[in-house]
Amino acid sequence: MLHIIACCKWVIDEVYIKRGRGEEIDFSSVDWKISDYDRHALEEAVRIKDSLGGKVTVLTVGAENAVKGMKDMLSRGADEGCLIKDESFARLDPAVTADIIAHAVKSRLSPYDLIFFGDGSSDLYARQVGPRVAAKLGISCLTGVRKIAFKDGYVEAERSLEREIEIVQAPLPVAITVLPEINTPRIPGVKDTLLASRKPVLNLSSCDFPDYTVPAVRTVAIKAVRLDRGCVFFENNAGGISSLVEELKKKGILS
Amino acid sequence: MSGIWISSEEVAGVGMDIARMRGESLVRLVWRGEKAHISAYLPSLIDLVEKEKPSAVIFPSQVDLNDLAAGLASALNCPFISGCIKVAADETGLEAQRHIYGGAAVQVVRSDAWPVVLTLVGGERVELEGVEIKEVFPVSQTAVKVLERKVKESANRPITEAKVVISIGRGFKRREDIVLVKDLAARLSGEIGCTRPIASELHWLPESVCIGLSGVQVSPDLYLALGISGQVQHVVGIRGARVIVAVNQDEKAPIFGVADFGIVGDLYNFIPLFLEALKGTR
Ligand SMILES: Cc1cc2nc3c(=O)[nH]c(=O)nc-3n(C[C@H](O)[C@H](O)[C@H](O)COP(=O)(O)OP(=O)(O)OC[C@H]3O[C@@H](n4cnc5c(N)ncnc54)[C@H](O)[C@@H]3O)c2cc1C
Repeated sequence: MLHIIACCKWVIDEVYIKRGRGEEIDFSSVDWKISDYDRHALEEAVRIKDSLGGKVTVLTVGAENAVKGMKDMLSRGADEGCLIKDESFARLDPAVTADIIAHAVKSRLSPYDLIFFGDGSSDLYARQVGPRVAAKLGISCLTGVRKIAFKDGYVEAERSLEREIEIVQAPLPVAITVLPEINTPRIPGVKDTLLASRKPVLNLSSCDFPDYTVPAVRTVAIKAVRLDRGCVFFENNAGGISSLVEELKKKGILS
Repeated sequence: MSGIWISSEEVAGVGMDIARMRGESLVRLVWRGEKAHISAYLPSLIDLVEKEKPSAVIFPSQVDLNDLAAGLASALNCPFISGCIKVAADETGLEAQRHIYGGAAVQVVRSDAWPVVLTLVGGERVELEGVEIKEVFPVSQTAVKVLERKVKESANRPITEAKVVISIGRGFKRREDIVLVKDLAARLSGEIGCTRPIASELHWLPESVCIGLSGVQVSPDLYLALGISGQVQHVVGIRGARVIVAVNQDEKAPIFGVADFGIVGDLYNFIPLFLEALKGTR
């Protein structure tokens, strides 16, 4: 019986990030989602459970609205949830998130065999939480994983590095951070959503954790990036495209 | 506490700036031994850092080195700022910038504690001479064993240096259609790039030409985006382009929001017409 933990982050959907006045971000109409790569992490956990047997616990750390996130996560095949929620957990430094997850895993979710993470979150993309949790737990961490198999009690994984594919073998328990090409996540149906609200959830808050030292990394500003170049349009026909070519000549790109 | 340690010359630029600001010397790490899984290097790196107490350890933002950086920061319980696009040291600490929300925003962070661990995206390479060296050796036993290594297919010429980049997205229906782009690339003396799905999911082009947040950043004179929706994670990689031309059949595609010139239409109609229009040009 494998116990597989999938860690998912509930994040602002970056599609809704709009530039307000100056460099400010207009957060007024944002929507939230499960961080993209984390959906693949959860899917992989569920697929392994489906083929080898066991249980999947989906874990999330966040603020009040993570409740909604947990429902969404549970509708994607997890058996149980672990919801670690506190107003002070809204914008955590990855180091603190990792401390919290490691503490929860050690004190509440052990024993476990596998812990899945997305390789980077859709909001911060710091790529720290997976390897830091593994370091805290004293287990191995396989990052950048795009394929997994089980052989003789070991995990065999394909890691995608910059210039190489590295095939590695690791004993359990192990932490794995996945790339999106590992699988195609399911889309939950109405029945899955209904079932999700009946699944058991372990609720934890800041009082279940020791005081973590204030992170030495502080966010001092968040600035929207200016991307708009005032697009000029041309028709997709001979006339339009020759005008485009003229413009490119004016810019000195063609002569 | 002293010394700014860099894991390779790829990050020497920032290393030198911090070293100058703090009046410390630059030290380059040299990785010895047979290549094992990256975790083999962590114990000796931690030992070395605990003994010699550098002020900063800086790595390029790469899969393995990011692991090492995270492991090191975790052991030292020190700040780790990953994926920095800009770093500046001052009297008390340092300020770094990094992309967040897929590249839609920049996060400015400060760290006023030393030591600090950093990974840099697109650091400035500086050839170093006479710089002090520290050797890091792998341990012989690790829980993770490497069974095999395969070299990834990569583009012959680095796309980062191309003057013209023609980039393809999922608007292409068949792998064979890439031939059409090859003609265009040849005509414009350009290189072919792509979005993440084309490289990592469909494997139509090598990952070395995937452009964006998790790929490479390019700054050509001309960037021609064909059948690319223009999600922020992709366009963050083309911000440095001088002129961006987008072709997409969906007038609402976000790529038009970042382009200089746009054509709403089918790329399969566009390519032959464009080739034709280029006939009178050099
Ligand atoms: C953490 C993270 C990191 C990421 N990093 C990267 C990265 O580095 N690089 C990257 O590219 N992506 C990255 N992505 C993925 C990114 O979000 C998008 O999914 C991806 O860029 C979309 O690729 P695409 O434009 O090819 O495909 P799609 O979004 O499917 O767009 C295809 C477009 O083609 C158009 N089209 C279809 N047929 C035609 C036709 N005949 N003629 C003209 N137009 C047509 C459609 O209108 C559509 O706009 C990342 C995602 C995450 C979450």
